[in-house]
Amino acid sequence: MDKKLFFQNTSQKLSAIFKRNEAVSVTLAVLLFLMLIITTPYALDPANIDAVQTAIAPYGIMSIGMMVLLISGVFDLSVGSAMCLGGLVAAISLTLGADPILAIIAGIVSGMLIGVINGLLVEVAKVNALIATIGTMYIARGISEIVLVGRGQAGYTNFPENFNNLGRGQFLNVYYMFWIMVVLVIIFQLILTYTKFGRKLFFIGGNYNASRQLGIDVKRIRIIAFMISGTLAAFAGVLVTARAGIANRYTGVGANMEIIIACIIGGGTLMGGQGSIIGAIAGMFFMALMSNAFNLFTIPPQWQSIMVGIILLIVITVDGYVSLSKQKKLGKL
Amino acid sequence: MNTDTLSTSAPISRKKSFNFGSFTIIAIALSLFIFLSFASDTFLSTRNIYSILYGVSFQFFAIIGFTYLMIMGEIDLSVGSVYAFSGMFMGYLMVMMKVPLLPAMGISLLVCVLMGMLTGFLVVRFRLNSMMVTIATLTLIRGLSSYFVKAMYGATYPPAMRHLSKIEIGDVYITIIAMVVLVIVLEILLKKSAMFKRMYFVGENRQTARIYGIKSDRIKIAMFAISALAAAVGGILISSRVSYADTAIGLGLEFQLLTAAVLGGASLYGGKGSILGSCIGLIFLATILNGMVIFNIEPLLQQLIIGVILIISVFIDTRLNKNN
Repeated sequence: MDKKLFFQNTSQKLSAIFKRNEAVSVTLAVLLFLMLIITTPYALDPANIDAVQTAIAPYGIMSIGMMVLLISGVFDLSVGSAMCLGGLVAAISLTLGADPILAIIAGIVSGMLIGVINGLLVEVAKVNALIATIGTMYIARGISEIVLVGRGQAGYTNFPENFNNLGRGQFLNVYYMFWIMVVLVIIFQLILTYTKFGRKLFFIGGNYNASRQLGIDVKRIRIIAFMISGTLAAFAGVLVTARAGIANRYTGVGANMEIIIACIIGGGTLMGGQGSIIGAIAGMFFMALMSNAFNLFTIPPQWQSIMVGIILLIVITVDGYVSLSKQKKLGKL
Repeated sequence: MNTDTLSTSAPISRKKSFNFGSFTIIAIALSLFIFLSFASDTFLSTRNIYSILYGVSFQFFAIIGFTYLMIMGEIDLSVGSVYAFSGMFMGYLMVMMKVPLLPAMGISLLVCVLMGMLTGFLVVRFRLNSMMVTIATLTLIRGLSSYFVKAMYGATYPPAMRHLSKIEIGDVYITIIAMVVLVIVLEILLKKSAMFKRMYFVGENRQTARIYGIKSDRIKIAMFAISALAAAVGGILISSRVSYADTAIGLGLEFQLLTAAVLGGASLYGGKGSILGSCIGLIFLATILNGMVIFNIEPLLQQLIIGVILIISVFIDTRLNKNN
């Protein structure tokens, strides 16, 4: 092959990669990771690696669902509550003597139900996604509080060993939950890139009315997207419950914002039509590594939100600036 | 600028967005009020009503700018953080830096206004989604305020600051008086003043508004600044009442305000909403909580009920407007 042509091709490919919207988050995450392992010996300490893995995995799984929704042009604020409820339902089933497998399924189904309700509210009842999911956020939180009545601060504890193993077990020194996240990321990235369902999500997010006129079943697809998000959130809740051996009211508080922020850093937007699962996961890695860095350097945690806020502001503004100048160039403005 | 065209076209376009939401909430709030006053002896006592109003009067400040922005089709999720930040920053200046009351208040308000202007500038200049920008500023400002919480080590605010929320005019707390006066004044301005009516035009159709010569960008930046300023005033007063830097101040307030504003007839698509409606929305939420306390209903049910009410009211509103 001609050397010149080869270089031209490669540079084209490289620039194509960096134009993709997940490039920012991947670069940020990799840089942060390198900085951590160079500057502190504790970064590669087994205890720290354990902590980072189990911090990333549940939120990573949830950010997959959130990204699917963001691509289709909606979002879900009820994920934190769905996470809490999912873990609780599994814990209650276990306490009532259910088989662990059954308990896990029960937990996941509860999240699926919340997702379906969200989907029906948004697509059939035509309630705005922000309001519908704030509503279900309150409702699911309320249900969690009610089932916890009389349980004290700790909530439900003492689960069978094989259930806890789901959250604590390792394969090749990596937690099961991390493997599960990796598998889910690959599956959903493939679905987005190669299936009709995935392409339709992008169409719907890009232009809702046009997609409907083209005959895409927008309602069904959005409801499925909400269902995916709720299901994954509840599953993450089950994993967290198994890891901590405890199900209480503090699970998933503030998770919705953190996950949306990770997805936006990862190239998603609230306007829909763009984003990727890889980007979402890279965004989540960035967030988790950031909080790990603050821990390792014993910097007070409040600086973390200040930092995340500034980075988010920069990412959003640069993205807005780029798309604005693109539109100006095309003469649309 | 051609104001004549504006005022003549005003009634037509106002009628089209005739606001059912506002009437629904007034009707629901009234029936709840009547029900509670018959069902319970304690509800209608002056003391109880007074305490409901006193509680609402702090959040009321924060909902002013929030409603204006919703009318213009924007949203400001950072209100809760600003609400927490303003009081803590002022307290920090007074406790740690020994700044006197008024300069401390001035600096704190100024900083909040500048942050609001920055948000507005970013939204307008780069045509950004205001929800995304304010999620970023929410995180940033929340971080700043927790910095001040840590820096103060749980110290109580000086007496001068604690006194602010307790100022009374003829046996009525000043915050309640301010709320009543502001509701009346702002509601009249919104209905009568051409300047305020422009916000509805911008919310209904930005392009048309621009053709009519409305400088929507300037109004938006100003309203983001006002939103931050109003939230900051409320925040300073609530901090003065709480009397120390409490991390729980303003947590989740943005969702509470959104619920109240939507119950009061505002729409996320812009062009609708009023200060009176939002205020009644807030009072309604507070009354429900109050009623639940009186009837000894599990306080944990609160969130569940608020969620159900929010969804049902928006659903009804969507249906009504669709048939309209």
